Amino acid sequence: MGRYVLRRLLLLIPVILGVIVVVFTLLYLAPGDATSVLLGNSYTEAAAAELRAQLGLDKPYIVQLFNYGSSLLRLDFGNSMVSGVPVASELATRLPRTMIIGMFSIAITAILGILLGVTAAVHQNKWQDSLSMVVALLGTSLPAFFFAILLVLAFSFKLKWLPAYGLGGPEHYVLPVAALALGGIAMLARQTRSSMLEVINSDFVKMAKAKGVRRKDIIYRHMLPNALIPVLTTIGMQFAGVLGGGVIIETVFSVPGIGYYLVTGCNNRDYNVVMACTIIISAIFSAIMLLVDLLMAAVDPRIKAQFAGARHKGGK
Amino acid sequence: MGKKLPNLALALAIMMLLSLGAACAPSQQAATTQQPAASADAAATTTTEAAAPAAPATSDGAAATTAAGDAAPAATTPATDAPAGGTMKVALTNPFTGAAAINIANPYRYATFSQVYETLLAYQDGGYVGVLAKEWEKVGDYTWKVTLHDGITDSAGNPFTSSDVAFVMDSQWNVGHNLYVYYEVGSVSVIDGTTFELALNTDSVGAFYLIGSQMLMCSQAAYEGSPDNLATMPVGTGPYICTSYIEGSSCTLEKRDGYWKTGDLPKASVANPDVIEISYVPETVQMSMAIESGSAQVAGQVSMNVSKEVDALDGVTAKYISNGTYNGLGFNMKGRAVSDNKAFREAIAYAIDPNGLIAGVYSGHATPMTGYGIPTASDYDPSWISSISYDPEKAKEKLAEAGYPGGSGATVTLLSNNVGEDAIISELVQGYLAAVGITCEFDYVDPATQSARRAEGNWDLALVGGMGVLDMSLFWGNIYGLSGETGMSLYFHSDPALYAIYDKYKAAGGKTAENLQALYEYERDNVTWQPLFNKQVLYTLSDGYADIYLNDGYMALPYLGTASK
Repeated sequence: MGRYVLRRLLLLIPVILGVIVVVFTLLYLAPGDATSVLLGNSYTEAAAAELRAQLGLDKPYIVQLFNYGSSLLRLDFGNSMVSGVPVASELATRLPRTMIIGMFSIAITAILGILLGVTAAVHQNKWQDSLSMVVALLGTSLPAFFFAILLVLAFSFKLKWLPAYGLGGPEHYVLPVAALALGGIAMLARQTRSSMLEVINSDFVKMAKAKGVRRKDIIYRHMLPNALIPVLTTIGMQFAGVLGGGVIIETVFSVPGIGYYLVTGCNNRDYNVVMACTIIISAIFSAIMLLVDLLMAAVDPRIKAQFAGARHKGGK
Repeated sequence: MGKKLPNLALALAIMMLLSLGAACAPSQQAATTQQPAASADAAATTTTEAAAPAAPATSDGAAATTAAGDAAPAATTPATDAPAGGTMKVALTNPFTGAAAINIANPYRYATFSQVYETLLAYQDGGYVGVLAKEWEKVGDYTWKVTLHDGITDSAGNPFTSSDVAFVMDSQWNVGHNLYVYYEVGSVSVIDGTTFELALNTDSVGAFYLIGSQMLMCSQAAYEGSPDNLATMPVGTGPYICTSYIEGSSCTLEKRDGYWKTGDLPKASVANPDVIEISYVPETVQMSMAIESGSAQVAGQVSMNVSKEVDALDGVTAKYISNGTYNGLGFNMKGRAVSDNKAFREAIAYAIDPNGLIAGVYSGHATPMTGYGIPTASDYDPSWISSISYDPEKAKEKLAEAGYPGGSGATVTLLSNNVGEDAIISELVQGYLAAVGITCEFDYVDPATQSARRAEGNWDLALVGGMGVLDMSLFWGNIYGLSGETGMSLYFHSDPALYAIYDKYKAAGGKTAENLQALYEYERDNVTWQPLFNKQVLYTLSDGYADIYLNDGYMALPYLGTASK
């Protein structure tokens, strides 16, 4: 297992290198650059060329890529071309906000989504199933943006329990987390229900029932681990969406996180910002997917056996 | 355990549904939502402020250029009420990037930091007052001598001197200069600690005032002493200090002890609330709820989509402020077969109704632009009206005259950015042109590439605009560039006759009434571009804060400290 983890960690290196090259190339090929923003209505080709030289954007592609790569080796993400602020310091400030929202929303998504899915599956075609699926349908149908506004209306504007926007104590994160979690809960509940229904009539479940195993043990010790594999994959994928796609929630609640930073960087053609955000997001996502794979091995002995088999083969 | 967890999940699900129900339930205080723009009528509580009277800056040479001291040409107004203390909560729609004084020009940054960083001058009540500058006078065609107040210090205790002014103006070049007028800064010669001479590249008086009132100042010591050149924590000479700044989220300003300036203060220097808490709320519905709930006692840059709702609120005053911007339709006359046809340009100008655009996009809160210039320009002549007003039948006649009877085969490409108001305006323009038979295709680009795409020149029409114009020299400078056809050209004209007139006007001593008139007449007779409207911005002020000074006619720059409670 340890060797597998090490191998996966080493695989992160080519993945991130690939991300750097692909994103850098796409940005290089994309029309426009930061000079357009910096010069505004003063833009002329001559002024842009001068500024481009100042920013090093006039150099050949391969030179720019090499320069950027060299900076990265020194863990230097450069400065924002628009604000002049070191990108690393901005990331250090913004990433925790996004991670707090992302981690909590994923945790809530996982708990509620799985529980709702299990409830729906074990009470198939009963009212619990219907209610769970209504909630799931609602969550899928309601855009996160709209649900966020509804939450603000209910809990900030009318009940005045929670702040509507801004940063501060933990209470400021409640509504963003809830808004971001809803869609995930819905998707996960449907996925869990579907997976549970696949195993509910399996022979091992019938055997457990026949042996008189308690119902909750059948559900949580036999059925759920077998149904969790696709669910864990879904959770991992949702985390990626939360990291990169939380920009709408960040905008609605005025939480300046990494998603908002990335979008602003794209709009400003601020290459250093876009590159840094993409690298960080891809690294975190790769780490999360690794964690998901390890969790899958933990809950499914068959996968663990595959690791063991690989190690055995490798040992020969 | 086995049953409790699913039950908990169900209970949470039910709570979620109930909360949604609660949010959607009808209420006396029903939250506002975005409404399609429709009409221009405003409720009784609305105060519409007209554009400021013409700025006193003149541009006709030395005779009127001996403005000196706080007395001229400004209207000095006593400070507002005595300090009232307390905390004022402000919500602004537009966050911005970077808090440094030396940065690309951004009116939204000014709205937050105008009382942390100071400027040499400030536009106030239609004139200019000195802020850092005590006296100023024009000592040559291109040169201004400025004397600073004695004893200026920033909040970190650094003295602010003439050398700091020179440092800021020199450094501006290194961080971007997206404002046309920044190109007019030539050099700064320091005479002594409080006196310097500013040599401009133009004899435009307005250029001096624009630079003086827009370029935020900071001390070199504070700038260089900051690990990120003040980008995340501003340090200025103003009456407030910034104690917390979270980009894109919030900013807290606190009244500064030991502010260097005393006595009869310009409005920009007044500090009434002890603390100003600013939140950035870009989402429109959030903003309207913040206004309605009172959590935003002052709200700025509010979307016109909610103008009707805020007009109807009790205890809230909606102010529609002319912000000195102008918007028009630019014709690309450089090698474009269609728009290089005068009759065709006239047809387009006749086909578009500015009032329709204003109603459709700004809920009626903008002013049709009838002439070639804006009233805030000191030497603007109100008689310079466009000879063209909305007339679809006339448009069709002109179209036939241009060789496109019924619009057959007439296709134009409209360059516009693909977000916000511009995208909606483009669609309305497309509709107006279709009504007279012209096919309008979009070249939508995102804002970051718009300037570059405009320079490529593969378009016929473009939505264009500018702001902060104090005299016609600056106005035309924005439109026609620094040095005629070889310089910047926002509207991308290519007409040697036009540029000959412009260059004559722009030359030293050329800013005469005769040259002004000649330029106007050429524009009018040749429809080199078509003026559309002057925008307004919406501020809402809760009871107790209605006396905040909103610098109308000039970027709608609010001096938040002038609010008393």
